Amino acid sequence: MLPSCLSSPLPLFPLLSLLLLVPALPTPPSSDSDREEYRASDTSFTHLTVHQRTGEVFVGAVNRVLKLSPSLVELKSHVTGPVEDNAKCYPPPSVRACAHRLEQTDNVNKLLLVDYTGNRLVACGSIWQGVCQFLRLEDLFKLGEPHHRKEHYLSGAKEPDGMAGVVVGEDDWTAEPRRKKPVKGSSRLFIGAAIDGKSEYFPTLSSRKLVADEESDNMFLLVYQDEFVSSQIKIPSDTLSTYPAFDIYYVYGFSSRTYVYFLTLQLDTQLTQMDAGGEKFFTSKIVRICSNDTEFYSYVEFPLGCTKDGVEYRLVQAAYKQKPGRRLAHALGLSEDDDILFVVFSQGQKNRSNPPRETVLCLFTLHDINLAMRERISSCYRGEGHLTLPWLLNKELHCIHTPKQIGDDFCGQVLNQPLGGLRVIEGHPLYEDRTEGMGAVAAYTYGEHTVVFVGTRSGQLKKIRVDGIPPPAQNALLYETVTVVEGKPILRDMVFSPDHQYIYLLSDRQRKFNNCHFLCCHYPINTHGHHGSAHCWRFQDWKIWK
Amino acid sequence: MSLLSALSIVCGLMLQLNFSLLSAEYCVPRKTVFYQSNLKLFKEDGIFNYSTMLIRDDLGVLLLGAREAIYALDINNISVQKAAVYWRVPEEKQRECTYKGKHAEVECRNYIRTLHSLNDTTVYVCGTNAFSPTCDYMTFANGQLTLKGKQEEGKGKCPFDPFQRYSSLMVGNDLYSATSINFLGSEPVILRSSSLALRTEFKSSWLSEPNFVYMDFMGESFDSPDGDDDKVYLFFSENAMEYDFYRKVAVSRVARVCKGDMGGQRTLQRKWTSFLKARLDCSFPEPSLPPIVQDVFLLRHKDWRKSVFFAVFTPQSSLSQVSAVCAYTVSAIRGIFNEGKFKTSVAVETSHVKWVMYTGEVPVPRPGACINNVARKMGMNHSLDLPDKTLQFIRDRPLMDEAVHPLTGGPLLLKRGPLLTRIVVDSVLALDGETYNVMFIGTENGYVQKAVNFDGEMFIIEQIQVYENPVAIKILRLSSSKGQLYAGSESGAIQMPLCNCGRYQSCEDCILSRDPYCAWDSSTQQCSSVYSLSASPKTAVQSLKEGNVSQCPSPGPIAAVDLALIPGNNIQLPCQLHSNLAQVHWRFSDLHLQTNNKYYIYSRGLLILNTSTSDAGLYFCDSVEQINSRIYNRTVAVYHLQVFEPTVAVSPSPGITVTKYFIQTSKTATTGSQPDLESEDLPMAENQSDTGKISRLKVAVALLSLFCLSLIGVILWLWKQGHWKCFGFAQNSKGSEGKRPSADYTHIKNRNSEIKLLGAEAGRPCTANNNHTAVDFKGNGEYHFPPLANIASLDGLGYIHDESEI
Repeated sequence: MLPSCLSSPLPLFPLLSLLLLVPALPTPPSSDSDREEYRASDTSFTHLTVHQRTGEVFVGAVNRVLKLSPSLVELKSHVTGPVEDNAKCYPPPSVRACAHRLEQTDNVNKLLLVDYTGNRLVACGSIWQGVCQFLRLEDLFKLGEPHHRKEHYLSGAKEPDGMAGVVVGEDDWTAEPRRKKPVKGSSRLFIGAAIDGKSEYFPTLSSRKLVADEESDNMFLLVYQDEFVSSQIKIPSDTLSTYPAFDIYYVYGFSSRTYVYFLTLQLDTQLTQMDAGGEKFFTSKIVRICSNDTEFYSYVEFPLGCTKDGVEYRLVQAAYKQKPGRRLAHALGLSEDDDILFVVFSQGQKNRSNPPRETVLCLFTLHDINLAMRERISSCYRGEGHLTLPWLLNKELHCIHTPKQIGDDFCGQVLNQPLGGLRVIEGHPLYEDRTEGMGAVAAYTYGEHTVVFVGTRSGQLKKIRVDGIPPPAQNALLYETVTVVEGKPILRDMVFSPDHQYIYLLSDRQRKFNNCHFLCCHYPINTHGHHGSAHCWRFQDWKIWK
Repeated sequence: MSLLSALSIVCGLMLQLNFSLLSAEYCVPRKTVFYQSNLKLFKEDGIFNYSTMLIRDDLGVLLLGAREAIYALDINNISVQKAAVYWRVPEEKQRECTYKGKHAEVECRNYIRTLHSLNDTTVYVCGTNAFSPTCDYMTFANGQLTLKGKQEEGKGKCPFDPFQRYSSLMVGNDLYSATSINFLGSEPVILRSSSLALRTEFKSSWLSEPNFVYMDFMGESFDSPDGDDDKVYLFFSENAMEYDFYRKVAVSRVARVCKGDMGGQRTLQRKWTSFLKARLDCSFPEPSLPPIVQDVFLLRHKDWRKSVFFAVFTPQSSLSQVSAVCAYTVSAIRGIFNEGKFKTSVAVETSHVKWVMYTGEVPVPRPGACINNVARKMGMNHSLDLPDKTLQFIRDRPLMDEAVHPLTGGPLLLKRGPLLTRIVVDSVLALDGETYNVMFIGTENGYVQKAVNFDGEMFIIEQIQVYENPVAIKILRLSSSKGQLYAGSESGAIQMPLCNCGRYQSCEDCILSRDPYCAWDSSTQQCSSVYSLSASPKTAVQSLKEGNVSQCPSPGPIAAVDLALIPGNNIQLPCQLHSNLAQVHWRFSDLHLQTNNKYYIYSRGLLILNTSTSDAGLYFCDSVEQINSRIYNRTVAVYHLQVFEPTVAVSPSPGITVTKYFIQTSKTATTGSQPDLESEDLPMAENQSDTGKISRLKVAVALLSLFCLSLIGVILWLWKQGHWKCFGFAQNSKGSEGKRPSADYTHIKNRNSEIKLLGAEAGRPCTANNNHTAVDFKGNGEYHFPPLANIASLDGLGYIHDESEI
């Protein structure tokens, strides 16, 4: 059933040894001396997550989920595919016989996250209309793979990075200590997914129950659903009739205070001509929902972008939520507890699948984003203008004037929703790279400093200290550029080890997925052993040099 | 100012041409019955919007839903209240509603919108409940109406907005409803609330900003050779997708779903698999945008295929004041849905979609068809078994290519004037053995039009004013068995008998009324209802299609009324015709009188100005009524004028007082007009006089030809803005310049207003008259018009009945 290359033991290339640097050592480390690498030759990596207590590394791949030790020793490999499937079969062939011809189909991991409350790994794939597996953290034992109800099908789209998920419930008590610690099974999973035109089957955004029993029928049920209202947003079929290519790609999701946010890339329906042939324009949005909003009345979205030297950057590539270091917080007039967001954009609004290499790293404060949203809501509740959300409403609906005062904790009402922002929320450009193409970002606080790591499409890892907003340029200073793997893009997921000593990143030669892929692993590995293989690296973080 | 007057001339000319050309096709009520205080009325102080009704013959009550109240009224006399129950909005709920931006005293109340019988004792009730629709169960027992307090969620069953049109229907225990499911009113749905709830896909090709009007059930499974299912038909208007127009165009539709529909398995899960819709055609004589369906009535036939839907249409442009009734047979609608071609959308290069006829292969089973023998033979016993191909086809193509055409190819009734709002139809077996469908149609100004179509001849028997104030009729219900009609409006509910034959006192009146309910009973010498003829039908006379009075005994001579003539004074000779369709002919010593500087003929009589002794003599007032090609002529009044001798005391009578009044006022009118009055008051003559004027106006237009080119654009703009500015201009120019043509035109205006005041309602027999004569003060734009009082002062008789305000 499986190609031969999958049955052979996965080669581990201890290509480079881990070098622990003495913090006081005054010389910058060489790029080859301080990293470890895990390499798989017969699959492509797609996602990466690190358990924040054990430091164990989980990697999502095509037909595979891996568990690695913090030093990238493979501990366990769990096979998820290929399986007999046909994307046209709905419900999937596992549930009901399907008239379409079944083929061995790759299972592309699209979402990988640790459910800390449930003490398990959630790995969602592309087969069977996008079902998820629950895997035991210790040994990747499959606890369950709910696939009998339509709620279990998240999206059959093949693209590995159009989906984002945020688990809430378990973090609430840390943000709000007065709340009781939730019991296992009370968490909710917010999922944003590209749906590949199938709005009849999949919501683009939903809030689902994450119950304790993996085999329970309630798993992934919408948090709320009645005949007319439910905790989901569907792309209207009118939008898809008008713009057949319309979809929403979820680049990043996070929670902050009582809200859940998503950063998305989607077709710009204002700029794109309706017919399928014309050039497509895209726009980036930030979407916000109250995490306890079961009816999605709090849905607000704003266009997101960044402008540097008069050039617009509108294609979000990657993002990372972080709290600012003392210096940056001071420069921004924020507390160190406030959340900020580092976002990498590509230039312009075209070529989502092959974005321009002209990229910029920008900083947003959640304070500014929330302020813009609050002002927008208030203005709408004053009866000004329209709801302005063409892709979701397909018509102009007036804002309704009401005496309601809009506070910071406002979570929407049955009216004046869903609401779209009128202007682009602009970030502060920090660092521009016009040749390498930034495509991954992660940040942490070191002492008083905020340090941002950026991965590029040419395989470089850049380290930037951000202590303020430029100018002056020293506020965002490129410290270091390390070539991780020549010419291979670093994937979007970059994660720190719990102690922030290491950063984990993924690289893969093949960014684009197609059906040919599982055949591709038959290709011989060349002398260098690099081609056709996927990499997972661990880098030690370098000291900040003054 | 000269520019304005020039504009007014050109514009006025266009209007006159327009109306005189088209006037002949519109029907005018033969008789007008003004409001009578003995009409049975129900209202309660402080309660409004009596707009929902349920007739319960079995309980002997009419259930009436109003704002925050439901009444059980005696079905024989609705002014007798048997019981009432109040369903008010709690204060907290009302406050919540106002926080959502709704008006506390208007929208944040509970408007009862739904009353459906569930069984012998229970009625399902829904109300808007302060923009949060709620349903409940209600019983009527022991003389008490009781709400059970179940407070079910009413979303989807009842609109949020108390003023949004909607429709619902109870079939068994399943509630079919067509309304908006969200607060914003932006998500329309056709819903079946049952154990297996079904709804429409939220897609503009299914429903695009619809306005739901009517729903009814048709038991088509009965005696069906192809094993067809029962259907629910729905009438509504929505944004058209099949027209290429620079702005949104609304269009009227009929749609249907199958009763046994269970939705699809994968495609169209819990959605209708049998939703089909087609355009309703009802062509108006003048080219216009598609008319909008306002209400529908299903006249059931024992063979369901012959059942007929009667639909009221009004124009979608507010410029037009024409309403129509078109009728559609069930079999015609079925034909389109069961055999017609589909429309499909194609993308065209100009980046939009166009809907054209689908010419490809249609999957089997036929998309949108109910489960019938064809499907069963293929092993599909319910809609869940339908193949994706069929379902995907219908999901994307619910619209039929061809429109449903009306029964007789065109409207059964066309009427100019206040718009028609609601309709019910009763069928009457007349003495000639034929069944006539009598339409009762409510208007926006509180009238009921009673109309028949005699083999293509539109005929309004009478119009009855049922509300003292010009309120729109919001609901009409018919009880054929009781012979009663019930109407509801914002201000109250009324009841009227379907016929009141006693209104016609002579045999001629009775026959000429052509009322299928009424016949002249020779034995009792009364105009009686066909249901209550005293003797055998042989002694009864009825002539519906011809209006032939030859069977009536010839009327006796009319006694002449003596009047005193004081030379130098004006004198009025009243003469009231029995029919709005009749023309008046005045004769004086073998002279046929016409309006000139001596005589002034108006709707209620004749004025003789500045009398002299030579005016003494006999005056005959003849009523000339044309029915089909037959002319019916009779003398209505005779006056004998004798020169007044001072020695003879004439006792002042109320009639004389009235005379004086008219003399004075008409003097005012005539001084404002041309001395050589050529216009006539006779409605039929209007067209002729208008054409006379038109030729004169043409001269004026020629003189103003220098302006013309530059003006045309402005005129078109004015035309778009509303005709009635032009009238405003006309009056303006009259006041300032007094140009002959415009003054002339103003005179027409005066005359029209006069008719409004004196005559029935808007329409006179087949004339160009219409209620557009009132200036539309709502659309004045940047131009300043004289206030109402000024315009009124131009009129001989003091005021304008401004129906545009209704």
